[in-house]
Amino acid sequence: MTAKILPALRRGVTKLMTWAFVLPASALAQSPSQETGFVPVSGAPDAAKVDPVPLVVVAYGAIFFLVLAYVVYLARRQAELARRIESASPPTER
Amino acid sequence: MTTENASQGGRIFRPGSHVGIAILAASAAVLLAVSAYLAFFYAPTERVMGFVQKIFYFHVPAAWMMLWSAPLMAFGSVMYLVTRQEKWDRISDAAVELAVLFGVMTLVTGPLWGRKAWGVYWVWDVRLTSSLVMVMTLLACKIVRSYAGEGARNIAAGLSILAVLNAVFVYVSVNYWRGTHPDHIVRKGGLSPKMRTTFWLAVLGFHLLYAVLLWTRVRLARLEDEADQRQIGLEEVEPT
Repeated sequence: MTAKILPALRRGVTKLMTWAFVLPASALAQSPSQETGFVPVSGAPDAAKVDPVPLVVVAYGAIFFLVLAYVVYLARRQAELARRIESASPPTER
Repeated sequence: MTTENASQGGRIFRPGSHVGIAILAASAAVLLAVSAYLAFFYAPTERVMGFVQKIFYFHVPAAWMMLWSAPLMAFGSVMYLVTRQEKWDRISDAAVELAVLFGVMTLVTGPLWGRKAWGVYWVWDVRLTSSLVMVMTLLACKIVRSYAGEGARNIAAGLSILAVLNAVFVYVSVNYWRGTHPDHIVRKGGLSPKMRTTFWLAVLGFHLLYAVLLWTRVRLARLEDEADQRQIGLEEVEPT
């Protein structure tokens, strides 16, 4: 039993230690900040062929939609609160 | 319900209380509409990235709002843990919710910009990844609040403090690791005057929008708590 567990445990710890060193090292290996602007990803599809108009429209549309959705969410909660208060009040006070 | 309680209930829908916030909300709407117009018809098209750079005018302010929520979350959470006053918890909760809202905006618009600028929607860059982690932590905060029962507020406060540390990392990450995401373009003066005017108008619009939503959200939470307490009191007086 111990003979089976120990090698597995050793392998697990080794992997863990490797990742613990590799992940920060790979993050640190990214070159220090020197330039301002966008750097194209190497090996990516040719970005020049991408039509920017739909991307911009979707981006602005998404912001508008998210704000609207949040406002509707707040309005619904407020309406629910109003209903609760209304139902809790005796008829003479309504 | 007593007359005093009824008058408290009436306070919720007092017409005068909405005037200030309505003016603020209208100003935010006008500013955002004007800045969107300026982004497309006034600010020049950027030389390298072209038309897709227009996303910048709303993407960056949204990211700033996400980061601005961090000190508010931290302050609210720490004050709640120290004083146990519910008003601090309500502020922290509202700030978390708004950070999620603006964080999602950032995470949606960023990849759309990246698709044209980098050729891909997403890269595991330090800033992108840390922003994603921050939004996920804040979502966890909201989920914990909904389902964790007793003690949920303490856990949520702890998680939001953790998210604040992450927010600091999001901000400074581009200073230390040059990934795919660009450096602090605004701070380094990388904008033409027309771009700068458009951008700062959008920033002002987003700040006003944030203030309106925060005020509305905190007020709503306070009134819900008051209604809960009144309902409990009513049930105690008139047992069914």
